[in-house]
Amino acid sequence: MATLITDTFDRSNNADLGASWDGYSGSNPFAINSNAARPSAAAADNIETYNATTPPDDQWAEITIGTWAANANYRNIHAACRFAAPNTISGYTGAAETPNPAGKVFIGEFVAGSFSVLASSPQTIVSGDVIRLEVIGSNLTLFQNGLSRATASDGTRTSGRVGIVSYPNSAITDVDIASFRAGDFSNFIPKVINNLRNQGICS
Amino acid sequence: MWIEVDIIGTGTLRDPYRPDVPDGVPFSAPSWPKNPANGRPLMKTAFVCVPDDAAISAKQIIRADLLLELPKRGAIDLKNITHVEKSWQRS
Repeated sequence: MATLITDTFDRSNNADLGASWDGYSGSNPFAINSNAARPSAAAADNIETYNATTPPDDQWAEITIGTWAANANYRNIHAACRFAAPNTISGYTGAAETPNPAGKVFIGEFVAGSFSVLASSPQTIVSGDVIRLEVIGSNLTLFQNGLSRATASDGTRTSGRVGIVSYPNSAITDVDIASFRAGDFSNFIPKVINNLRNQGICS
Repeated sequence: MWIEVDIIGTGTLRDPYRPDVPDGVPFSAPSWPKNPANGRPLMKTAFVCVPDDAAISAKQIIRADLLLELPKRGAIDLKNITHVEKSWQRS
């Protein structure tokens, strides 16, 4: 498992995330605010994907939640995989939301701009949570802080970019992303075998 | 257990298409066919897996062994999806 992309958003405030990120027509971009990626519009979709590197088809993406306001305003935040290039809004996401009425994590899919939930699990969401989506073949798994929370199966999207998505219903100050990482599963099997060897389970 | 429930929502990030399962109940749903042009569900219902003790009103409860038989019935003919949709609709 290798990390191919890391963005900690540690740079000057700007309305644009930078040249490595693309927005989508019909949605809003993220902005750099206090070394985090913040949605730029409330009560609207905010979507960006990473263009400088596209991981192999079996890929993962994860976000570390920065701001997660302690109020009753609805908001969601997503790590996206196998996302189409602009301006086609199609791809998988792993997300956290609150309240509705309570917090939950879920796996979703965009198809031509329409969004569906494929699996969901009620969970408490706090600042610092790491939300990660892994897509291997047609298997989708959502992790919260390293724990598997939801699984789904869908073979519609076979490749694409990684990215970030958010919908803050009331205020853009309710949520932001402290850091973003993405990668592939290369060297995964050798690492598993090495771990087994280190434990004396196999030679 | 596997249940059949309606698909609700409007397809937005605020109100996504989803199985009609109460908030607070975890679920895992096999993907349902969607119109590739607009993402709308091609069926009105979805099969969903929920915990056995979940208090849910469902159209029907499906035996797992019958669900496992579905792949043997052959692939859905996407060129004739109108016919397939009608065969799945419930009154």
